[in-house]
Amino acid sequence: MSDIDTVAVSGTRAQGGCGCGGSKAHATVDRNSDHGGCERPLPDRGILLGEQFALDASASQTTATDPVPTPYLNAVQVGITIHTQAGSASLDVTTLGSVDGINFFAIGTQTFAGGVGFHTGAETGINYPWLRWGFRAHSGTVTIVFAAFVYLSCQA
Amino acid sequence: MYWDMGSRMAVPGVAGFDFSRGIPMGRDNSAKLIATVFSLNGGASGLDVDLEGSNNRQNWWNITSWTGLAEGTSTPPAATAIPYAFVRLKYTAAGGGVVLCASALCTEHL
Repeated sequence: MSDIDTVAVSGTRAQGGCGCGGSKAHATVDRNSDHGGCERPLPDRGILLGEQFALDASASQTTATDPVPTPYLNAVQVGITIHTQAGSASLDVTTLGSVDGINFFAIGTQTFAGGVGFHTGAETGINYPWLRWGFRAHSGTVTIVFAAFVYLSCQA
Repeated sequence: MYWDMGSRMAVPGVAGFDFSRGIPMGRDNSAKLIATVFSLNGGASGLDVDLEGSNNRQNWWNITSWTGLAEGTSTPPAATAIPYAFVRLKYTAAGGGVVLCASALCTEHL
């Protein structure tokens, strides 16, 4: 059992882990596994949410992605590439979680005010099987054109 | 085609409004809303529903708005001549508060 696997599978999902027991002796999923009693249910996932979002900050325009099923993954790293922004403005990226895929709750918001370029922000300790991301441009008079990428993983 | 857009929604979610998932129009070019408002709470005077369209699921434009839906089931006039590959619904609790509701869309080729 490698260190990476130890990190990946330790702790229950309720404890902020990803759903498997930490040792083969105490495994509840697959006692014959070579990975501490259970295989990682899902590999880490990178999702390109879109490459051509455009939101007008002067109107505080908002949009959201479709819901994404994310069982067993409890951390997200958001990557935003702002292609075009002709003046000062801010972009809020809110990670939203849901237990039913319909009603969503805000987990956390990252605000990117740095203009053109690549920006990242993280949310951890996520305990929802569905995620989506909301975007809002504000605090400016220009349109922000951007791409959004998220990397979902399991953190102990 | 019939699409269940949400059977137990509490609107608004976080920002005072909420979005459904986007659904593909396929060969259809019209959409009719069937919305049931279970209850208006916290000062909400009705449910406003915007039909939005997109061709890339990233940039969305308003097609039509159905406003002031009261408690009970509403089937406002259909939106027609929709030139988008995808549509979604934007829900707003008119007057603030929270609206409990369910909604469905029926898309057809007219």
